[in-house]
Amino acid sequence: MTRPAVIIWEALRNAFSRKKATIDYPFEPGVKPAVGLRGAHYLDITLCTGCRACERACPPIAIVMVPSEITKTGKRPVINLGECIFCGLCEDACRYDALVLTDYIELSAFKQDEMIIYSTEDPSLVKKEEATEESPKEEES
Amino acid sequence: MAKKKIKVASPKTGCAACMPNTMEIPLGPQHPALKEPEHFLLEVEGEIIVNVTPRIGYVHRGIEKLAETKTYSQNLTLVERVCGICSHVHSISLVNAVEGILSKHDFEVPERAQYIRTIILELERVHSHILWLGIAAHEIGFDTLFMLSWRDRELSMDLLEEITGNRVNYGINEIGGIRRNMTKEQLDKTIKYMHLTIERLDRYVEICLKEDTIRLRTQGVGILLPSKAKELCTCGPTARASGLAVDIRYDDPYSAYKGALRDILKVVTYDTNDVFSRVVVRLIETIEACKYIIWLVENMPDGPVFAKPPRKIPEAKILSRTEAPRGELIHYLWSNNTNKPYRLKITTPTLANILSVSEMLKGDYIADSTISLASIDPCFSCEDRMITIINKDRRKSKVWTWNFDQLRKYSREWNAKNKRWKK
Amino acid sequence: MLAVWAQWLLLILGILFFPGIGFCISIALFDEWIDRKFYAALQDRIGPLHTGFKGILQPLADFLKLLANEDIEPKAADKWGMRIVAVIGLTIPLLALLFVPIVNLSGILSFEADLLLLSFLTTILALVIYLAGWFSANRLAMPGTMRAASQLLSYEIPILMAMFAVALRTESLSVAGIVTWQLEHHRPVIFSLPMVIFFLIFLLSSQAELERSPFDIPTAETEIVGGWEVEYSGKKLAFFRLSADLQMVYAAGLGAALFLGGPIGVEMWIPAFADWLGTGASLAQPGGVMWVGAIRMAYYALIFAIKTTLIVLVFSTMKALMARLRIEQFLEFSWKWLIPVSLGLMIVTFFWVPWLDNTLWSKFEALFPGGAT
Repeated sequence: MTRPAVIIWEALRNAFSRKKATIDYPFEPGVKPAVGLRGAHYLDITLCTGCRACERACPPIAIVMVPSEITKTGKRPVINLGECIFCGLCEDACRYDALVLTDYIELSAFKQDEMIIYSTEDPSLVKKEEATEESPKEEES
Repeated sequence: MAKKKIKVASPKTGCAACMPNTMEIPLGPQHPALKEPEHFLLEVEGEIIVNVTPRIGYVHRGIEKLAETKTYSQNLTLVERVCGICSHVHSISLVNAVEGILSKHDFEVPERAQYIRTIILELERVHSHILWLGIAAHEIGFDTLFMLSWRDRELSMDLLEEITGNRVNYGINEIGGIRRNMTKEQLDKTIKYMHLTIERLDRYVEICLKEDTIRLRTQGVGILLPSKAKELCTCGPTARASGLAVDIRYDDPYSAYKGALRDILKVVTYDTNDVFSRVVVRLIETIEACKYIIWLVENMPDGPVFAKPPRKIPEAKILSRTEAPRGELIHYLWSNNTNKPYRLKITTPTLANILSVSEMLKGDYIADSTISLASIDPCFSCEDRMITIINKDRRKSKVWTWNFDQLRKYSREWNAKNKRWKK
Repeated sequence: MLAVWAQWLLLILGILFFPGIGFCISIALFDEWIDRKFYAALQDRIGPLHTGFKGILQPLADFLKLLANEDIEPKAADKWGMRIVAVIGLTIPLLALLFVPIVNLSGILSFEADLLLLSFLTTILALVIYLAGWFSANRLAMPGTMRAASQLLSYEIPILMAMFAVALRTESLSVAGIVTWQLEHHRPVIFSLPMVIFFLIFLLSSQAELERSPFDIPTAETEIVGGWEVEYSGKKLAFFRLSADLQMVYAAGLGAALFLGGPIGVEMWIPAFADWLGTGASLAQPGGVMWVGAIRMAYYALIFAIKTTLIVLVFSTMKALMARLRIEQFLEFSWKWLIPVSLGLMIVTFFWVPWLDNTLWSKFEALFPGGAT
């Protein structure tokens, strides 16, 4: 037996139920990434040895090594989140657990430079305050 | 296909409905019903389509060429990005090809890894088919079904996000196994969510079978007879809706389908050959996929999920076939004893199905063109490929083909010119 | 007696602001918001949320934004034709709304047999849409135009049937007369038996006439990319969008006036209240109490808004329930089912209703003491 408007009761039930499927995302709390979601990177530069394993593993060439004064080999990674595909291969490649992916997901920015982690860091400045190596973006996460 | 160029009736000289000659209506490359650029030229008489000319190749992305420059584990993330919806099946296909080569050299993938891979394959099929149901409903103007089905698709999307760590391109495969194990809680949650999904899908089956307007729009529309379907080499649900029992999971099993799962595998076919038949086949297939997931979770073996593969892949040529949600996916791999492939060739199911669209559309109304087109679940960006035609003069023109030496030479030159083009 | 200039001033102010253009446009935008919210709720969504209270200003914002958009006119199109048609498309529903009773028992403009004029205006609207598609000279607009013409003309007939069935029932050809009949007989027209079916036919055909989903066949986005309105952008599209909202209010208001008693609320069953409201007979006439007249205007406008909003809710429910039919299936439904049924019901109304009115209804009426005339 076919008839039109089969969906009517379900639609009306939706209309008069208080809970809706939509989440008013930035204004309403409640959106949390699942445990283990791959988000922005966190680099603990005190553990980093500059071994280039992450650079070699990265498929879209989002990680580039730049000179640094505190790592063993004199290099440290700079991560461009605009290029990153969040595959996590760099995390797997890192043998010293220096590079990890956090669950921080709000990555949108107004400028391309803001998408790059640790690009503007002055190496001499890094040497002075060795404990706090985080860029402002990372502090939020 | 009529070669004769038919003059376009200008709207100023006469209306389409009362003039006997045909009018050309473009469907695409930009069209609200198409999510990706593709061009179909419809020749219509009044509201009836008499001829269709598809044209592909708007979004060629050069992925096959790019794959030659990357290592195998990098390539897994690359081929995932061929398609946004059936991403896992691409990496499974490449992984199967590589592991197929390695299996000649006594390399085995752990059983548990195969099971988890298959769970994700089937989850992907579930979310892809529900997505298709929403799109098809949107094409026929039934936006409520579209919204509700996409709401319920979130269940399987959330599961995928939790198991693999990403929502779209999962990046869970690795050559020799998978990168993340499934915990006990995740297995329980999978079973719970799949039961919920089956419940909702039963409701959609009921709606699609009972709703009068859906039947009016889909029955007898876009007919593809079994003989034609065979002739045009269709695959996947499109072929199964025409009554051909074609399913790579059953015919040429891979991953966990090789084992006991093959005994409970059902090849869903339906025989009305129209769009309605494709709706039914996809919906029933989704319910079956949920049942396979439950079976896989219940019969999950213990053990490791990763075995370390050798760095270099021995020289071989191998063809790997998998059943994507849209049909048969082919990866042809040519390895040359390095850690990078020498050649990777990908053929996606839409390329096989797209010719059947022009067969389906002939004799139908313009109003039915988009639902017929959507009924093959097209994924144009995956299938697009490029041919270069030298010399635009038609008589002298020929298709520019490469042989492998030319290709190698060109790639070397290109690489020398553009070495480290970033930074 | 007020001076003649004052009467004219009141009339012009009325047309421009309160029951006229200003009020109609605001209620049209409000109803679009209601429509969008309820349509979203049926689909388990929220709908517009951030402009004004729960997004109540979103339709206005959309309209203003469209006005600011670039206005693109194709080379091959009849440019002046497109411009004129857009303006006429906005004018006609506004004109028709002046005949719908909002703050009085009659509209601002009204005369004997204005129902005929309204039916004429409905047909002109169909013609305007046909011309709108024709002038834009687009390959996708052509099928849309053809579909619009055939759909609008075939669903005109059931609407006219419903309108004239009401006229037959109330023995009056003016909207004011129909409303007054309902007040005098203490019941809306819909309580007469076949009129319920006519009301349903009216709603269904209005939905088809307004080209709203699932009957948006002439403007189907996923089939012919917007149909006849494909070449309209910027101000012209804004005019057509506003026109669609006004048409929705017009259809709802006319339905309310013809079947549900128009702006008459509870005083239909409370004669004392009706008499008290009547003491402020008209603002332009002496003998009436001015503030009672003002209260009555506000009260009638409120009742009108409530009734139209209820009908709009029915419209938006209808929007969410079905898949879009093909044009020939939909026309078939009109010619094979809707028109024969309404024709048959016309005959029933003609012969049966006087008998029903005299015998059955008078017995039913006796149950309500307020109904005794």
